Amino acid sequence: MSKISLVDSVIFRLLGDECVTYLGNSGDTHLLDSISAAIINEVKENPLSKDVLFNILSESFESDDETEINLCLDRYILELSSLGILNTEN
Amino acid sequence: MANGLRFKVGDVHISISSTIPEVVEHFEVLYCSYELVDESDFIDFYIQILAPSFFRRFIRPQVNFSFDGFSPFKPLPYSQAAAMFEWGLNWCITTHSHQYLMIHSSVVEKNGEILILPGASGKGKSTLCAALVCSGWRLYSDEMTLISIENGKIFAVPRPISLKNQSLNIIQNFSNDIIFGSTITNTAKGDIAFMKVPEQSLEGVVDDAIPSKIIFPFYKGQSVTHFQTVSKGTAFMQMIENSFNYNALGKTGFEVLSKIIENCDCFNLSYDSLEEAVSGINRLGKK
Repeated sequence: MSKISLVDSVIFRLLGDECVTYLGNSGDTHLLDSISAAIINEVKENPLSKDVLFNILSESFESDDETEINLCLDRYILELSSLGILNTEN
Repeated sequence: MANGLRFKVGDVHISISSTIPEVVEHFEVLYCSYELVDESDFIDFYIQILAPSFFRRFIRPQVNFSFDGFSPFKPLPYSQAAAMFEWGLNWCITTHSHQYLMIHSSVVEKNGEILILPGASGKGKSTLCAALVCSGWRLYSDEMTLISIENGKIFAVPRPISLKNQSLNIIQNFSNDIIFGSTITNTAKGDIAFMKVPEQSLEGVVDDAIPSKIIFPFYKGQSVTHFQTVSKGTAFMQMIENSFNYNALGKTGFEVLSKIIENCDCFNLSYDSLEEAVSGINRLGKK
């Protein structure tokens, strides 16, 4: 199962429930919302599978619908990966 | 001043040479209280404001800014010589001082707390800064926040406050104790004048003052004075937009700015009345 981890060159700061990230490879800075902040904070030290992330973060979502939460989490992971913030290793 | 007047603004040492009467007057009025530096002291910036060549003195005379013998700008009309010095010195500092994270903002201090007022030209930051300085706040800078990348300390560079167009009358009406240099007309920014820094701002800068508030001012005519809390994340991104060298500093810039933001409460302020804005800022109180 693939594991999700923070890209090595990324540093971040939690500011309230938001998060700012600095990407060492590109020099880009991003402001991210509370869900992104929670994902990054969870994978900052150890890579986690999506299932584990789901279990940890499911309460952060407003919906109780597991399918909807899964889809939403997928979108977040895809977006953060495309920004160069997360690795999704196999 | 033909042979170079050597003086310091905060920790910045400057040598200025000029024989242009407008520049000499600018210094006599606005820089008379600044500390001079010895011949043996290191000078950061050697600046000359040069009179036009012989023929050019008679046909639309112009003035040149020279830094270390290099002229980075096109000449300006002769009447704008003093403004050219101030604008050129801004350029010197912002392009050569990467030991600081630099933010385009006014900075004032009171009772050991520093207030940062970032904003692009025309947002009303200099007008608000001038009003705060007239109300007991110490000027650190009208143009830039210099944050040491070594220790996060904010360095004071208190230079005359640049005010333009209707701000001139507004500040003249705000306080009777203000000294202005000559008004310089028809510049790229309109009519401008520089306000003398109160001597209190030049003496005994508090060494361990800490930034506690960031306020993004916005002058809006006929509006009610209104403070709105800004999230630290949003403030972070707005500070980047107003930074001269955040991108050049890379990871260091991110770390330095993070520490500043973590320690500050952040607000948007829209205002029309300076009295209300100053009073509101004072009421925000000590952190």
